[in-house]
Amino acid sequence: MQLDEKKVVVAACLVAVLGIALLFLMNETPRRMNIAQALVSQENTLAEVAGTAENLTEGKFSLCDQLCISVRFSKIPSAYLLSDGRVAVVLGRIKEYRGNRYLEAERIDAK
Amino acid sequence: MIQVIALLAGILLGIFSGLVPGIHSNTIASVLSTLPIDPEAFAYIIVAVLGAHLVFQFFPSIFLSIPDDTVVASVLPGHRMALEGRGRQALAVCAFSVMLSAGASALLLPVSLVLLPIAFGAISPHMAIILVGASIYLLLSERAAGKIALAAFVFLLSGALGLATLRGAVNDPLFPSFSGLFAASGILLSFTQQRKIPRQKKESTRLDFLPYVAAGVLFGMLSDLLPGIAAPAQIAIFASAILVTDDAKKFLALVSSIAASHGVFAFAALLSIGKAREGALAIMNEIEPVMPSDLPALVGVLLVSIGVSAFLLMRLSKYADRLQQIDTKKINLLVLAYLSCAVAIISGGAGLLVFATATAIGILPPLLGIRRTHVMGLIIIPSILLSL
Repeated sequence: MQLDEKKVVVAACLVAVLGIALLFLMNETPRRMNIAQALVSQENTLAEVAGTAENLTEGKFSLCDQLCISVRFSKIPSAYLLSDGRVAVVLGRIKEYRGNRYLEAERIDAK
Repeated sequence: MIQVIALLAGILLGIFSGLVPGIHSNTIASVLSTLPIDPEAFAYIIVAVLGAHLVFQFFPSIFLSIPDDTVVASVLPGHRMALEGRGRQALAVCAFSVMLSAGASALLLPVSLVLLPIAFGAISPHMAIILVGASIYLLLSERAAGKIALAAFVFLLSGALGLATLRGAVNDPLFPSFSGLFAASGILLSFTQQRKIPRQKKESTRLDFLPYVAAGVLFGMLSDLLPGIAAPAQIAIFASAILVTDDAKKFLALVSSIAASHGVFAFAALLSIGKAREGALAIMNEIEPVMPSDLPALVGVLLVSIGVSAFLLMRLSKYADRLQQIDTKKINLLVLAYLSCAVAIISGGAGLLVFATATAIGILPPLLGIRRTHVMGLIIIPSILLSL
């Protein structure tokens, strides 16, 4: 390898490492999205999704706009303020179980 | 009548998404799901989009070196053929392989409905070990100890990028990643060389790639067992390491076949193991659950869409010669500008960061004298961790 190519390789490695580090730092920023986007997003995406709460049961409910996504939660006191038809904003990680996407809630704001 | 209109609309949308880098069939499905469309028509549109996209995505991959995530493995041999004036032949091989593979996969669909759950149950507890083993095999294929070390470095660096991007800060992370790893890095390196897309010859080709199409059908079925991070691309990389060939045409046949069979068997995966391996199918299933009785109609729509699209692609390929009249440097600059804008629009500032980082990683393999396929650590390493 010639000297200028070595410099290019070193520079590329530095750019790559720096870029990766910055991206890891940005990972903890939630992405605002609608339910359709949540249904096609990558697993483990940290998302903030708004919709209407429906079919409330112990530990889960459906969050709906034109589509619905299941939301599961535990130990989130604000979830108990929800009722059918109430608007909610859910912050959580997108997960998948048997081909179905759902939100593992970390925070629920009832509007 | 509405089904025919839906089919035609889906084909047109799929042609658009296939030709325009950055637009995926999932994007189309996501947008359409917000419109008040009859559920049956919606299903027909989505499946037709999948079929047309499957065929037309090879055009930008072969002539502009911009890969879609499903067929990223095709970009290097495909673009190589275009630079040899055999781009039309490459397109013909891809189109034919997709049609043949989709047809064969459709015939095997009833078998896959039974086999997939059994295979999934057997393989999924050991998926991480299988992926690690396959990755080590890929690295060792470099042979020289020094090159293996460099390959491992690039593989891990790409994997770190994959972990950083696939956890959510970036919208549609695979587009800026693959565009940087393959298209942008290739363009930057090409500025040091004088390469022009030559006149594209119209030449017939022998059907000696048929065994690779057959292999692709089986590997495509296997890809529906993998965790869903560009699984067809992962399987294509591993399959190419097993079925070693220097013939770009055979490699393209394999990649095309895997992509097509993955698309067909995705229906089986949805019904039998509950895994929606295509985002568009997940949305379709959410609007109205797919039942086994729907399969013949939906697979029929897919096959018609693929057939019509393959015919149209061959007609379009005649115009590939126009590329020869354009200064390659201008094309490359235009492509680079388009990719940067598309990444910025689709994925935002974070996407541009991914794009730049991926480009930096993408230029390493040619400079270090190792194969470019090691950058697929981008999706393989996250898949390994997902399987644990």
